[in-house]
Amino acid sequence: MLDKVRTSLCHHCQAPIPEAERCEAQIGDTLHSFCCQGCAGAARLIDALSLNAFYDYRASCATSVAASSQRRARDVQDYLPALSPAAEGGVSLRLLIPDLRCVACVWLLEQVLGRQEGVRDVTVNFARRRLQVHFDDSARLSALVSLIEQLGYSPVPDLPDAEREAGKALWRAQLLRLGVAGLCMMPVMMFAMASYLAGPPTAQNPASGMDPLYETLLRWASLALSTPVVFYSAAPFHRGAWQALRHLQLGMDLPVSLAILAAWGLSVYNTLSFGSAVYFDTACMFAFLLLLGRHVELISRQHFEDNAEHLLRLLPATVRRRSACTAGEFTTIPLAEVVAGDVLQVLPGETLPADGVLLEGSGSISDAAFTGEPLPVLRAPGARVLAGALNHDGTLLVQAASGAQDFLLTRLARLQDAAMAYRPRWSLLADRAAAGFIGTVLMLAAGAGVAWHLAGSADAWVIALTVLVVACPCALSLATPVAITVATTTLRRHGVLIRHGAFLERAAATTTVAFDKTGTLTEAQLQVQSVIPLGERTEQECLAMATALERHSEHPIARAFAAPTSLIASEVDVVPGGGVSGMIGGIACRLGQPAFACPGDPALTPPTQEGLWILLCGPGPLAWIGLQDALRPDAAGMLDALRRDGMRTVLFSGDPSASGLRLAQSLRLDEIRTGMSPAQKIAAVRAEGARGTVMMVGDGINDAGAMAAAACSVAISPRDVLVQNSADATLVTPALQGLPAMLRYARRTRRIIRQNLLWSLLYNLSAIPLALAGLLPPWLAAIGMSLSSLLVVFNAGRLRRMEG
Amino acid sequence: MNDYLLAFSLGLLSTPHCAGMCGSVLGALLAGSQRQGSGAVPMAAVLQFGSGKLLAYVALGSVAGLGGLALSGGLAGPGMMLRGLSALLMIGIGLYIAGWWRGISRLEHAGAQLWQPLLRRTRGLRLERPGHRLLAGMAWGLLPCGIVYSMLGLALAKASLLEGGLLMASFGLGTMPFVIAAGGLLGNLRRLTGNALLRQLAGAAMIGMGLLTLTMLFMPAQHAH
Repeated sequence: MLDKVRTSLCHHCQAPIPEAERCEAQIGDTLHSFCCQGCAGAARLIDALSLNAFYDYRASCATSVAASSQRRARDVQDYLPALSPAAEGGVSLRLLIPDLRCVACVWLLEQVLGRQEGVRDVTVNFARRRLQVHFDDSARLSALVSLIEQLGYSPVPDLPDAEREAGKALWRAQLLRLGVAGLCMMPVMMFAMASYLAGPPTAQNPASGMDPLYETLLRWASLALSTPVVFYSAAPFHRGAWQALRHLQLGMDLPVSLAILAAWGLSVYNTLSFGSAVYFDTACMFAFLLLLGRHVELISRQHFEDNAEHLLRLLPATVRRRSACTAGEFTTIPLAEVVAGDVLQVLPGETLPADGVLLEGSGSISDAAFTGEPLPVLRAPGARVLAGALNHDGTLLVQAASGAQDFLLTRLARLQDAAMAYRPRWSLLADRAAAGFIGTVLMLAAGAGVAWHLAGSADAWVIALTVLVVACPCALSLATPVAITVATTTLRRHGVLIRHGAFLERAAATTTVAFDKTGTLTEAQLQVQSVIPLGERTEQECLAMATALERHSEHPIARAFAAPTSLIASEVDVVPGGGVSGMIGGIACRLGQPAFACPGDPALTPPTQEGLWILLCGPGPLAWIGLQDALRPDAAGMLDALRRDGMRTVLFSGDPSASGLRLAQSLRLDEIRTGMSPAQKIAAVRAEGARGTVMMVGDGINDAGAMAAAACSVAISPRDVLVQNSADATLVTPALQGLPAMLRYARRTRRIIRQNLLWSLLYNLSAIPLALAGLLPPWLAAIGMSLSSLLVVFNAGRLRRMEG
Repeated sequence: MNDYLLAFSLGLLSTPHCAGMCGSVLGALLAGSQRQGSGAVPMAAVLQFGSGKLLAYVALGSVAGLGGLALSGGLAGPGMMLRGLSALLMIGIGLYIAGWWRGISRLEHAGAQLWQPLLRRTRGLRLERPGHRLLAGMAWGLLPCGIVYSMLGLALAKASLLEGGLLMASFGLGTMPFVIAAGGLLGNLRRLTGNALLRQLAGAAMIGMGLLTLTMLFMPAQHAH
């Protein structure tokens, strides 16, 4: 039994079937209609590869759409800010679809949404996971959103962003310019080729060459075709040149613009005056190849900068704020309206919208945006949380600590912007050189034209134009900023935040790494070091009781008691600044500061002054428990790595305790000094600075002086602590291996910047003499100039990998 | 040199035609080759499918080039006729892409007959394997397609195994940007290619190139040597 499906749309490509072309093919047990043999063949291929699920997937999604349910009106409000009136009439909705999985998803969304009534246009961008749908009536918003949800996606409103919109518009306009240039260039080049092959009439054979009628015809055709290229496609070059000229500068675009206009103008003159030669093809080719280079450059640069952009885009556009008057009511407000003290609701799977304190609910929260560490950590009420972190499974109430402009994420984004805008001194020098260079180039080109003309060369003007194009120092001016941008974003992805771009330069030069305190090399997490019983209970019993009590506390001290125990404490009370009290086996027990645990006996003193001691009582004093910080497990490996890279390692600690010294000694540092005052530290750093470039590593909070005295400084942030410090850079991941890796990366960045500068200089210095000598054809000049810029961009792209 | 540039641009210009059909093929191939749960962009897979397609084109072009050599026997007269034929085919594709006349699609019917036997071979392919992706890409390249057949006319006129293959390689490379772009840029690309004016411009450009090839054939051959 053969089913026959007769539709007006092609089974494969979904295009309408022209009746004359209709063809049918049996796929599985069904006879389908196709718009052409190609589509029928494609469907057979897909069938043969057992990929028919693709069609089924498509079809099932389309039918489930029919049973669309109504979305709750309250949620639709969330999407309203993402709705904007479209220029062509109607409205356009921008959504972020985080779970866009593959190209087939793109296809699916475009097809399903595109077939909805009233939808004019759907664009899905896979790389950026953005969807834009343009439709007639905003009343259809809820239907469209629920449609997308039924397809299995979770759309998030994506607020219009002026900067990004501008970038997109630029991209699109550039592509159209490139398309026009390409389309018009091809016939013009063929015309030029025809007339070139025919050759000019020669003295020996005046009858040779192309019929003058043909020649004229081809010239006029070329004129017509090249005009849009020169004035539409190449417009950005002219505009750039003009902008610079108006400010009395010789811009980077000036030589290019001049070359294109001159080639075209000269050709028009020769066409009108039946002159010797036309260069329409040269003008078109310059425009096309240079635009192509720019376009590729734009694409790759946007790609690199994407990460920076994403930082702020992590935050949702709207939040649900708990209403002040009605309990349990939430209203949706824009994120920008959040003020300190607002209580916000965060559902599972959502991004935390604000920095603040967790009031209610607990959930696994991952700080991947800050640390690059994707594993979620369980947070309970009272924990500090950061905007941009992802809530995996809890329904939370968060009390905002500040408005959106003061979130850590927002500050980081500002820092990153500033760091990326940085240009090293020698880069500024290159810029200034480039500007002076252009003046020279203009004179060189004019000189070459005149010289060759006087020498009687027919190609004099072509040579002048070639010089103009080939000598453009674009690569020189791109060499540094691209590399700095890529390096800053790559470092951030790996959990290194840079305050200032100059840091990279100084880190690359580092010869001495100074650690400003023991805590940097230790866990910053307490561990039970010793238990000294005071009563008849044994060490183990006391430890078990303490563990049972501390299990109910969130205090950092409680983390030292992680071992399992069978004892159960009830009626536990956590007293801030004091300790924990509770009932264990009917006995009232207290653990904490001596004054809290055993208020009746103020005479109790810890066995030693070293480390931290807490007292367990129940009811009388039972035991002293000594807590101490442990060495980070990766500290030794990190120091080894630094030594292998030829770094001198020193420790300037303010901690006078002997235990810190013992710990540090086990690490084989080159020099250890303890018990230093801040002033002594500054002096020590200066002394080291006289021998080499010093990088200071600490927690960045209380040693601003020493950090400022060093050439550069890095803060290693323990988990959960707000990264606000005076260091030039912050390692957000707790892994110490990040430090040597970062130093190596900084050196690699410096190397790549130098390679870029060297390459651009070599290119310009070697290409100009060739062009002056007339040895360089114009097409090669255009390609060379584009390639030299692209090479610089791609070379910088190598920095996207941290290792290598 | 000229012809290869031409073939490359024809590949590029054929994008408006390919977006619907080849886009879906690539979509299905990628959906089929994606491992469960991995959300990464299967760029390697895209390239493997694309390379397979390119290989198929090169193979077809070489065969056509060889056929051309056999037909013309390396003589100028028949060679000129083959060039004329390819110019006419080019004009045909131009009309097809611009949407003014769909005569070229008849060629696809002939091709569909040749293509049938190949299908049986593709059943055993497992798209998780790179080698098999290459083979699936080759099958994709051999799909009945009017534009490819018209390009083969040009390859025929080359009357050389090597040049025929090279010509189709240039054409295939011209289509590669579309294949590669199918991931991120598909939406924007489709918006551009859906633009009727651009489609017609592409078609007109191709017709112009065909006409020029014809003109150069019949122009008094007074090449300066």
